[in-house]
Amino acid sequence: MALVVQLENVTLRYGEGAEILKHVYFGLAPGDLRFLSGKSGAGKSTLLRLLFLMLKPTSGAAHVFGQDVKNLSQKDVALLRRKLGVVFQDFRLLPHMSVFDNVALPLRAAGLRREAYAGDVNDLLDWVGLKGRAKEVPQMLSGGEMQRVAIARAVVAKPKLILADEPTGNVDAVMARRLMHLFQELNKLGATVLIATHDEHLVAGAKGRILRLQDHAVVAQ
Amino acid sequence: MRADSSGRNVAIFPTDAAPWRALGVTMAVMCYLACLALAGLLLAQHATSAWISDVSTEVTILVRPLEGVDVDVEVAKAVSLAKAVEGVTAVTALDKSEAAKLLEPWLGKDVATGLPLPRLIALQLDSKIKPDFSGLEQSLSAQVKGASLDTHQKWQKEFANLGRALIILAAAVLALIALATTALVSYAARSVMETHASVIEVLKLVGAEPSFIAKANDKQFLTVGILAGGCGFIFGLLSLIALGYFVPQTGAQTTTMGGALLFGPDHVAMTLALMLLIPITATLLALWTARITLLRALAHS
Repeated sequence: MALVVQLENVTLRYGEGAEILKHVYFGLAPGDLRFLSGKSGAGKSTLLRLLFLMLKPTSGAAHVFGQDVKNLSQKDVALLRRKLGVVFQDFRLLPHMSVFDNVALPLRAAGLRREAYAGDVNDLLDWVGLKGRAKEVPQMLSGGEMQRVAIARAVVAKPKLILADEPTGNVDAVMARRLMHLFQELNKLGATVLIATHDEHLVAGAKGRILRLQDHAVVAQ
Repeated sequence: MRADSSGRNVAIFPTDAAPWRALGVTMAVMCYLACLALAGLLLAQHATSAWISDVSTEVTILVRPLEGVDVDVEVAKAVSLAKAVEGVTAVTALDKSEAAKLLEPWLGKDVATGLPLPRLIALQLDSKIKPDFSGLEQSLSAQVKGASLDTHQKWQKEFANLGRALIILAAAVLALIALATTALVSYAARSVMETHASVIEVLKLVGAEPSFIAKANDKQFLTVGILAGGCGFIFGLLSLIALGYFVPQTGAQTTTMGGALLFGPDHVAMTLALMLLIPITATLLALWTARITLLRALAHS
């Protein structure tokens, strides 16, 4: 079965600086649920940014859905990103848009009309417990609610790969468990999920294999 | 705080922070100047063609007084020869007092009447038939002493050159205004991009293609183009109408509304149509420039 993500001897550095990732090997098969664990500064976010096509490897080979990330045009990147859903640590919600419009953004960017996606977006908001907040702007929401909006936006286009960077970093323990449950549900629906976190308790309590980063290299899978 | 209660798509980019107002005011001024430049171009074209038309329907025979020659007899011969030419509709010989009157403003009454002035014969021409000027010239030199024919060709050429120069000048001004507007819109588009860099990043991350991001600003640039172009057009028109009331009226052609004073009633519709092209061009220019600028900037980001 073709891997969703495949990294072979990937090294990455910013300019002439130190290596942020060193000789990283790993793969994600369709339907995997993995945790990317490691201390702050170990390179988790950089690895996610690489997988989300925001960075290119300095050396080595990185393939996402079989495509070499080094040789992608802008159009290819846009089309490939539609297969990906990403949840950022800082949410990256657009403050001038309502919760509904923030969630619908990937569908709108893909050229769908509002009538075509309104039902799905409302269903998804219901699923993440935010149906009543659809018309509000993000500033009116709590950290946990914003996190759920970010997750809803990441999954609304039914991506085959979901990447989450510290998705529980801004929420309390109860909300963290609920969000983890949400990711597991998405995984059951067929999405491959990679969650970067430094919360060892969270990793221990969840089902899923662990990919451990230490000193900028993968030390255990 | 709630947003989007209308059920319609909200703007991808916030509309309050970007330099829309500054762009709108500056574009309106540019459109206003373009209207004035276009009016100048049309005025120059109309005026020169009218001048050329005036001088080309009349030629003059000059009979210089010579020693021992009765100038009145020579004038009569010239009138007779001129009347015989096909295409000449009227021949009017100015007598000595009329010729002196023409010089009175420069020489004074006493001096002008005392001088041996050349006599002028004005020939009105049919606009459809071109007279045989070379034949007339030959007849005059053979039969009329001291006569010469002035077909005003030198004046026609000078008027044509002047008209062309004015038209080129006005067209150059229009081109410069278009160039300045293009640069302005390009700057505004870059400013929008810098101001909303975070929005653009999110759009890219959710899989938006550069063309989608560039088009997301279309509505704003379209609105600014239409409003600014419309304001420039209206103020340009009002200025021309106002100017028309201050320009001295000469002749029946310039007695209609103020704007028509500059162009004549026959040209009002064409002038308005050409002036309407300015807001349309400004809007299209704004859209096109903004989209190209954003696409180029996104390609390098």
